[in-house]
Amino acid sequence: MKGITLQLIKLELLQLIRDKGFVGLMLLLFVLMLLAVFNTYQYQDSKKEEVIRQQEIVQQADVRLIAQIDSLNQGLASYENSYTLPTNGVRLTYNNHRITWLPFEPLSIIANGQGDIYSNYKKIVLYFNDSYEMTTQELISPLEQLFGQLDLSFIWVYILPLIIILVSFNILSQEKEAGRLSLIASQPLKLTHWILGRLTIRFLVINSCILFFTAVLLSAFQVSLYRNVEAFAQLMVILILYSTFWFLLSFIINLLGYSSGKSLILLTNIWVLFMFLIPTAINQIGEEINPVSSRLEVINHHQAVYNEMENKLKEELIRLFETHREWSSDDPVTKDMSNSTGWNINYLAKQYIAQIKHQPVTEAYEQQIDARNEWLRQFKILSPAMIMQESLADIAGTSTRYYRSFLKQAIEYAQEYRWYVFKGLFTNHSFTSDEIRSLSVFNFEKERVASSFFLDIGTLLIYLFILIVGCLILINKNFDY
Amino acid sequence: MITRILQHELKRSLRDGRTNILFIGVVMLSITSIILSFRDYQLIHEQYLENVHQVRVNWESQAEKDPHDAAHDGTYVIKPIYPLVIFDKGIQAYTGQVVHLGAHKRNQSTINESKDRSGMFRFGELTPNFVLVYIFPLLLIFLGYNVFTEEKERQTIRLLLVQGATFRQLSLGKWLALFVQMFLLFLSFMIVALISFSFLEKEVQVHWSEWAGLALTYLLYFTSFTSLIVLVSGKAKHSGSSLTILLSIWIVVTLIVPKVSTNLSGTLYPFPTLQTFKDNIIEDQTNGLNGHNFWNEAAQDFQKEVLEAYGVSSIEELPIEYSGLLLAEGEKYESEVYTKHFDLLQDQYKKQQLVYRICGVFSPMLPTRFVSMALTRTDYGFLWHFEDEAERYRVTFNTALNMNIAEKAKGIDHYKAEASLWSSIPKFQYQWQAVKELFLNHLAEYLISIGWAVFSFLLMLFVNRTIKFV
Repeated sequence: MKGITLQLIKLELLQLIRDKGFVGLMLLLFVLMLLAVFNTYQYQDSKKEEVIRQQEIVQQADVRLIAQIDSLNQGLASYENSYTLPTNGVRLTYNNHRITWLPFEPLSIIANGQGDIYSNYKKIVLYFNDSYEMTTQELISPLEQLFGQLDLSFIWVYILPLIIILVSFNILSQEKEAGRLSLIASQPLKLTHWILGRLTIRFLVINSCILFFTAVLLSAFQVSLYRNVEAFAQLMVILILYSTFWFLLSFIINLLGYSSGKSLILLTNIWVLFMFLIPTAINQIGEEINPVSSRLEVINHHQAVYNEMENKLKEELIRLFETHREWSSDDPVTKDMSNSTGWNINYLAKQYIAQIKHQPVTEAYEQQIDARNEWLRQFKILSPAMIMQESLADIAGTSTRYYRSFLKQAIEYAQEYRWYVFKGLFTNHSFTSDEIRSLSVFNFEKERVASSFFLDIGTLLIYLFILIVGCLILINKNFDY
Repeated sequence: MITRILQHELKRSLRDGRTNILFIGVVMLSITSIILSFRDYQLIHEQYLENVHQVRVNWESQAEKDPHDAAHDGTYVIKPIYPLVIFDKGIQAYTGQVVHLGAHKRNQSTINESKDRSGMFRFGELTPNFVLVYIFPLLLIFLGYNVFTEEKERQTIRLLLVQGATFRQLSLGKWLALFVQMFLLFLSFMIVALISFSFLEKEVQVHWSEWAGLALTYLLYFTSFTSLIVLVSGKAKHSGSSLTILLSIWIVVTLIVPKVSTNLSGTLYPFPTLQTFKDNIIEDQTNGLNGHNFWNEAAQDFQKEVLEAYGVSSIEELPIEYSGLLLAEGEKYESEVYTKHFDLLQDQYKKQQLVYRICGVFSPMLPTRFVSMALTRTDYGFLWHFEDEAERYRVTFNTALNMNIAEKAKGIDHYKAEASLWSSIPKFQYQWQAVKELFLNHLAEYLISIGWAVFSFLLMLFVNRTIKFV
């Protein structure tokens, strides 16, 4: 028995190596993975460069401002008007914005995720309407977003199952159609073991190829696997479980004993179901159950609030300075609209009041979005492809959850920064170079994005369990010999 | 003989339970997609009308204020929706829905639906276009992968040859049978779509040629697939291998080539980063006219021109408020600079479009998709057109506000326009691109699609002039 098994393994391996179709598929897989990694590397590299460039712009502007303040203090420079002084908070309004950024995860190269939709940085200025401009919008062709990028995630989620289907759909039917089944059945080996054995060898070969290709390509593109063992292990676990799902599915179809054509049609239909139909149906149902009004309404609300506030500006300003006593000042410069300081105080105060009044609507809207996304996330369990895609994007740090958390954190940072600068600007405080140096720096808190890795693994394991039970039932029913 | 083969194939399909199930499945999907798109359109259209109205109400209900302050606060124009969007949503979810029109600055459209959606949105939406582009070809493959291989496996092909049929007649007959099935299904699809369309509330009339254009592009797409299917089935030894090859073609055509073409176009002709784009604009604007800069050379030259035109020697002697004139003229200059740089971006996109066209030689899905998006006004061309129109309106809008200062603010400190000014500013009226222009712009896509359909058909006839069988 052991001898036969070993012989079978040897024979199957030899057959696979000699099978031009199989070798071709593995080569195709490698070429596609290479293209995907190369493309993602280039794409993300330009995004990383842009984040660095934006950080440098802020740093350089700060260095210039500090130098100007120091020159002024040392009596080396003079300014005609008080509002053009580098110590005036107006400078922080226009020239010295802040920057927030979402750092790239070590394995970001595996999935572009929502990276082509969101920017990885957001400028923080003292005046803007968050509901109008959620994030800095890079110049990108929307066609790129529509067709999507060729990345590893796409290959693993969509192409890998098809490769598995193509190498395993006819293990039994092929022999049946060639008339060799009775010969195989005459061997001292159960037919089911024979099918399972052949599938297991294909499973091992394909997964070894993927592991090897992934390790080589990631290392070649400067991802240290040694330093990121945990993330790499997570990636491998999810990949293996996903491929196991498709192999088991193929095993079940083989056990049904249909013709090659019928088996392939069935498997392809299941593929279409998991890749397209279930996700689109869930998206559609999600929208029906969690309807979200148009963001245009939020913008219009902001505009309406702004008009209302302008109509009662005096009262609103009194109320603002009562709420924020630390912002109020008796300095006449702060009240004089003909100078830049006074004009800016008035302008920023108006923006701030409108923003605060508008905030509940924005927050409610964002909560609606989060609720819908959360609902959809729960129903991803209905398709292993959805679990896989979300999981890969999470490992890569490019999922919607990452970007939305980043935007929330950026808005919180903006609020804190504005409060600090407003206090100085509204009281005509002279900012010192030390104060500029110690302006807070944004730091993305990754912990705020809860990992769903174990949940994803658990769900995939449940799928595998169901398929194994299905296999056992079919074996008992159809192969009781 | 061809008619007999056609009749035989159609009967075979009708009797095949598997075919009927697949047919019913696709019909149900098609109907569902049309109903969902219909509902989506109604909702979005309603929201569009409400929000356009509200934008205007907000604009007109502003307090008395300096018109240039009003220009800075600005207003919004909302991208209109063409009724044919029920057919194809195109890039709509990935492009902004609204443009903020403010002073001195041209903004890109913003508020992308995709930013409010979860990552699962990337799996796609059940729209008519999705069904036509992805599911219809799959159905065709399932219907026709074994048109020849089954005859070979059952040895019935010998019988057909004995009866006097040639391989070419067989190929033509089987091709026709598949085409007729596809045509009937597509015809039913279009009828349902047209019926739904007639119930839509719409302000724009859709010309029949747009429907015809859409139908033609999809028919060419399906024709290419039909020919490929008959070709592969003729050459393949077994049904299994025929299906494997056809599925691989489907994956390459619908999934891989579009992604590769995207990567290629972005790599060969990348857009500048936003920062570089802005820096270039600022560089061009630095020495030009700016409504708030009275002192640079361009402003001095303009002042001289104005004084000469009015025959006076100083600003104080002018019968109008000079700052208003400078703001209006500055706005025009700034807009010209923006237009120049946005045109450069458009030129870059046109180069990207060329890459997509070349890639269309490897995938008939690309030209089909581009024509479909153009006719349903959900393509990049529509976005550019809308943003250009919005920019033209922005200049008119700002000129009206700034000229109010010029005409009314002379000698008044802290001038504030009456609220009636806001309602006197004309509304934004978007003029849709002419249908003829759209067809001409996408002639290349049509030619590629026709090339695909004709070439694949001739190739099928040529390759299947002899068919091997054991």
